[in-house]
Parts: sequence; structure tokens; C-alpha cells
Amino acid sequence: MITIDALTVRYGSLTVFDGLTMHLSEQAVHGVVGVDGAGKSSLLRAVYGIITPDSGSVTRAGHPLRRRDMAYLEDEPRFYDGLTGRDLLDLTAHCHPSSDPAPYVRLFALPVDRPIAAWPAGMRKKLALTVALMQRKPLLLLDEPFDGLDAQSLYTVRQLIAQCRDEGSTVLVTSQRLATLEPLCDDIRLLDEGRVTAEYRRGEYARAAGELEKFFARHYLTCYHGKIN
Amino acid sequence: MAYSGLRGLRTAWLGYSPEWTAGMRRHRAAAGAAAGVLFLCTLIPYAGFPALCAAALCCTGLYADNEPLSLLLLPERGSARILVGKVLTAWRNYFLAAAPFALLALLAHPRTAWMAAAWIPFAALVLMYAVLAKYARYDPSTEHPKLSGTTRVGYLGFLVPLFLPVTLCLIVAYALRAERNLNRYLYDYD
Repeated sequence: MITIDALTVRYGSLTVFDGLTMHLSEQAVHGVVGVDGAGKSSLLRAVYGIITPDSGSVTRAGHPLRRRDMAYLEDEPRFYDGLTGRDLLDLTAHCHPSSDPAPYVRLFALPVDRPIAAWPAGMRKKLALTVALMQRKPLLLLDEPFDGLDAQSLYTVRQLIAQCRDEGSTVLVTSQRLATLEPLCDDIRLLDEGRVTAEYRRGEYARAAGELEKFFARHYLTCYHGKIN
Repeated sequence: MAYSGLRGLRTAWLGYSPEWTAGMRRHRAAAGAAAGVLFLCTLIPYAGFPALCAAALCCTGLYADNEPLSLLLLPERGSARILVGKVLTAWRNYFLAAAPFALLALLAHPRTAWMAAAWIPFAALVLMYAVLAKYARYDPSTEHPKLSGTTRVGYLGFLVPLFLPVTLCLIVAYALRAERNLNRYLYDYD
């Protein structure tokens, strides 16, 4: 069991999370859905250790999680200017000798000999996902992995994530859209203003969609009309 | 298409250094021109080794930009190991590239052999300084940082001997600062 316990993250006067707690079963795909600014990216960054929480802990079976046990996909991946896809994949394979990029290059048709700076955003996302998956870590943190992908790539990415789960990894994946997570996740949490406001198991996603629609409608009415009906 | 990794420049040839790989790709023409100039200088008496020193100074430009944090974390090494690896890779790549020109200069002008005794430590210190200065100020959110005034004074020490003691002190200071700075990002790696 991976436990995110009483996580508090503040950026100056802005509180992103205040005592956020989540229990994630292992060898499962856990989804987190929320609007922009809900805290999805900050959650993954705090779990990965890029952000130091003000308090709280992230543990696995009672022991602090180590980053060498995690792979992280940023929502907007950055790459070193001048490198080609082949360079980055060679670097990754050098650091993780048991990895093989060839299946991912074929699946995503990555233009490995072109400079990454010239790639479209969707291709860059797929390259970053390839680097994360190549590392074969027990815990995968994927921030908006479906963003900017075409339908074929969506299907492929879902299959790859499911395969990681079947091979024993735990996956925490975020998205702005419930529909992209439904076919894949074993459970989905709704994140709103740094709090988990709802949690749904597989089989309850229809109810989740309905409640999310009401949430969006309330938000719309509040902001547009200045009132709640 | 099979993934072979065999075409064109390979990062493995450059010791898996992203700085050298990206630099050679971005400045391929300049690298070729530099090779041409070095070749010509080796044919001129007493110009070969100073030209190699100038080339070492030019190579410090490869360490001007900050790589993304994901690339720094990829090797899963602690700060000390990263820094040592970066310096050794810089020396490896530079001296492997410079060796043919040095050999040519020695063969063309054997009387200039004594200059090699000054060139080798000069180039090694310049490259070490560039690596340490980069990571002393490394911030993944800033892709193209500006050189600080102190760092510029340090580089001046390689050109004006009067400032060399300052440069040597900065090398020590930057080494300590670089390790502390990188520990912010690599704290849980050995």
C-alpha cells in the first residue's frame, strides 16, 4: 500500500494541499481528475519529491518512497535543446541497461533522428512517456499522459499503462477528463482545490460522470451568474 | 523501421554527455571550422598549443545552458558522482578531440613540446571550472542563465595571470557550492 499521509504544500500564502491523504493499492492504476489549478500536477511533483511538502509523508509499506523506485512524466515535458530523440533514448538506455526503446519507437512512430525541438507537442509527450516507461519502475507518476494525443495514440498509451500494471507497477495518472481515465483506472479520485472530494471504484464511473457534470454546472452558474440554483 | 542507433553522431561517442552531444549538433559548422583553424595553427610554430588552449575556452560554452531536471535525475546518482562524472567526461571528450592536433603540433615543431606541459593543466582547469560554475548556479527553471560577474572574473583568470589565484579559489568555492546545490535535487541518491 502506498500512503500519501497528511500532505501539506504551500506556495507562499497559497495553500495547494492541506492535509491531503490518499491510500493507493499496489499493482493498480489510480486516476486523479480535476480542473486546471486543482492541484493534480503539484500532487505528482510532491510525491516525486520535486516539491518539498511543508508537512506529511509519502510511504510504501511504512517506508519512505525513494525516487529511484519512481518514474515521472511531466505535464509539459522539457528537453535539452539540440538533442535528437535517438540521443535521449540512448542516454536513457545507458542509464537503465535493461530497457529497450525499440517497441515504443515502433508503436509511436517516433522520428528519432530529428531534433526534439522540431517535434509536435504530441510526439514530445510520447517521447517523454517512452523515457518514463523504459525505466520500468515500481511506481509510475504520469501527469496528463493523454494530453495532445490522437485517438490511436490514446489507445496505445492506455494499453501500455495497463501492461505496466499487469507487470506489477503501480500507476498514478492525472487527467482533466474523466472519459480518458474510465477505461483504464481501477479507481478515480476527484481533486478540487487541493482536496479529494470524491472517490469512485470501477463500476461507479457512470455516477462519477453525473456528479462531475453537476460540479461543473455549479461552477459555471457561480462564476457566470454569481449564484447557485 | 528497426531501431539501430547507428546513424550519424552518437551520444555514446561523446561519453553520453548531453552537453557535448547537443553542442556538436547545434554548432556542427563551428566545430568543423574550429578543426580547420586548429589544423592550420599546428602548422605555425608556437601557435598550436595556444590554439588548443583557446579551443578549451570555447568548449566552456557547451556548459552555458541548464538541462531539464528530468535529464539530471536520469542517471540516478548523487551530486558528487554527477559532478565527478561531468568533469571526467569533459576532459575525455576534449583531450580525445585535441590529441591529434597536439600530436601534429609536436611532430611539426618538436621544440614546442614544453608548451604541452602548460596546455594540459590549463585545459583541464578551464573545463573543470566551466562544469563547476554551471552546477553551482544550476536551476532547472532557467534554461539559459546569464553568467554572473564573479564567474566572468574567474574566466578572466585564465587569460590574465594576475587573476589566476581568484580563479583557483573560485574552483574550490564552486565545487562546494555545486555539490550543495545539486543535493537539493539529488538528495536521495548516493
